[in-house]
Amino acid sequence: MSDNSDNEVEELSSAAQVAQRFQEWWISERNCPVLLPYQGELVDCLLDQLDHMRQGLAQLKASDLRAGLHRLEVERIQYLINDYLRSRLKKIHKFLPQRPAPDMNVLLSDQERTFIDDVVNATFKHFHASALSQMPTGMQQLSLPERAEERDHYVFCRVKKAAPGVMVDADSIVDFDVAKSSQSAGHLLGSNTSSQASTNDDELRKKTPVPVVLWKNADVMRWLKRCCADQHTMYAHLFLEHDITGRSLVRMNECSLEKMGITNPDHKSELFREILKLKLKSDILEIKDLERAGADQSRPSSN
Amino acid sequence: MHRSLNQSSLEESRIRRSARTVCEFEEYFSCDEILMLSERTPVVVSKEVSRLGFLDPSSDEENLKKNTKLELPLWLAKHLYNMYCVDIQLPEAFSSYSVNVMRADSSIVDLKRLQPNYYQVGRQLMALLPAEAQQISDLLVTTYKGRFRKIFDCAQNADIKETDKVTSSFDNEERAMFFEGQKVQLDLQRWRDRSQRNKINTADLVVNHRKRKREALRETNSSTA
Amino acid sequence: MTSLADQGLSLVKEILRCPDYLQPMREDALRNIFEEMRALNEANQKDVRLISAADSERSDGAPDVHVVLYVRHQLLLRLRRCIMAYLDGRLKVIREFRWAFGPVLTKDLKANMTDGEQKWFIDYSASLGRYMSSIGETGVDLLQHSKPPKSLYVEVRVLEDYGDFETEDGQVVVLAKNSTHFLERSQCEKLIRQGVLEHVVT
Repeated sequence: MSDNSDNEVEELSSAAQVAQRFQEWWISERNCPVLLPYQGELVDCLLDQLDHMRQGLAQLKASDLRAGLHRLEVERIQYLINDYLRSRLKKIHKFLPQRPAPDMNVLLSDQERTFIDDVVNATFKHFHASALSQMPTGMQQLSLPERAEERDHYVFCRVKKAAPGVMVDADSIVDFDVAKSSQSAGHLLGSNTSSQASTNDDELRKKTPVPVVLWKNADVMRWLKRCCADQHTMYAHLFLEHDITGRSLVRMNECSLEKMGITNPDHKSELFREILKLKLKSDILEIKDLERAGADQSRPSSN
Repeated sequence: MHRSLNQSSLEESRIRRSARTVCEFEEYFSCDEILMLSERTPVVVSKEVSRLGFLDPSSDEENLKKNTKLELPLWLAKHLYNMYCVDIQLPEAFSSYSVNVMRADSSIVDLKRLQPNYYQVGRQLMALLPAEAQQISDLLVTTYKGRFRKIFDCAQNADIKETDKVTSSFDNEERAMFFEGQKVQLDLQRWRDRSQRNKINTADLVVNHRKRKREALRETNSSTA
Repeated sequence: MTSLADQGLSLVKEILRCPDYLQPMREDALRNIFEEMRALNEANQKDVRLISAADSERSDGAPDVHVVLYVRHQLLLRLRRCIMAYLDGRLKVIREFRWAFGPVLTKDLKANMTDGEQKWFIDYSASLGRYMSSIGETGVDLLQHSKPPKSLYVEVRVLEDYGDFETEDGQVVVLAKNSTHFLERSQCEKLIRQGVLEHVVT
């Protein structure tokens, strides 16, 4: 299922397919509050086609009825491309004049990176000339952290391929089904999950969640914030301080919680309950995976 | 992996405090955030601090005396709290009196007057005052639950000419939400009108600029006449 | 010094008050803040010298000035942040000029911009231009095609005298105020966005 996704772009032979695929990305980019991976190949491919179509049009007589239709199609595709690029620039402008976090680099195109560099440099030149240079020497260097995108927004998703048991942000497991009726099922998901899912395939397809035992401290903090918001405000520093990873989290018991400094018995037992739930969920996921693997093997390999 | 767990309680509280300051800047250039951090916060000075007397406008002393009650901008209160110089008090908007008012009917409260960045200041206080965190969190939810319907309703139905009147009691985040809702409603209306749907409009900035230019022209004309 | 960065705050409030209009730069307010920052910095340096002198003599008589040093430093940072947010807020308005009015600004638009800001506008405009021309073989113009196209031609009314307008096929149309024309959409879209023409819908 996963090994044919790499060469899918090459498989798109007809122009209509490229346009269709791009339109899906355009819709996702417009509706998703965070940047999605740049679709350079599709953009270049479509722009090439537009050139061809324009050349073809130049040879048609203006009175030819087909000319009007073709020209409208050209305009339509150009609109899609422009709006796609504009949506992305709009999101980029949200974090300027700060530079994007390094993990966003893979989402940006070379041209976008150059643009960001240019604007950031020009802006800081301006800041320096109009203000920083007139401040005390110790204040003249303004170094700001890179900006990460806020990934906690929720977005609506339409399911394209059935994908049972997708783990949504560690606290709930959702079965994605393509609805049988003409109306597709809609889901409300954290944009983090969906942007990863849409990386795999334009819209949602099965996303393999990171198993809890492989969680880094940051994943644990995210889980804590989501599942035990109250505990998070009180004890986040403890989890941070002790560098609790997924592996140590599932091994926790009430005793080790107390050692960490969570002495209030109510808080302690509540946290422990949440940890147990998480353990249970990850076990269920694992079982489902095993079952699916078993079912795939027993099926004749027609796919 | 686990550090030694028998630190003194003072050491622990130091770590807790320094851990809290991590979330200092969310958006460096955000004017809204700067404004929010300037809201007045009541504090009590917990030890005498030399040369800080200028923070207390009611006294000419050079040093800031212990137990002085002050109102400081939130950003400064946070920094002094981290230096163990002050204890932060709950502002009026989060007092037990306010809890009762909000429980009764939060929709009639004038948040703009009470605490113009109510929800955000509340979240900041939650991080600063772990003992009261739960109470503040409950209060924020209660308040929001009681007010959401009104904001939603106003955004959908209020006459656009009455926007100022309607939003006069909203907190800043509520106002932003109201305008978002109003914009969506207007977009929907425009879309429903088939003839307007595909109209290419003049950029908003251009329209506003024109309006201002005309107004300026009228003013100079009337002043010269 | 008792103002606790109120001057900086007033700049920030101005940005929030007019998010889509450029006021004149508050040069005098900025100068006052720079002056305040200089005073804070000098006071801090004086105290630092005091501490190091006290340290070398090992005398405990000197007052503990660490807190006041820290508070002054935070005040400096706060003032700087206010100024940065103010300048950045202005650049955001100027940036929108590029998208609404195009790369060339009229005199009245430049009126409230400082020299530095005009320079920045040119830089931003050039960066955007470079970005747009680097897409594909021939580049794209992102100011075009702002709405999904429904027809090739649109009816427009002229809102202000523009003069001769040459269409792609070489014909020249005179765009005089209040005249109406039937033009190719892609060619007149920018003029509509800039308020020279109005799209007439029936």
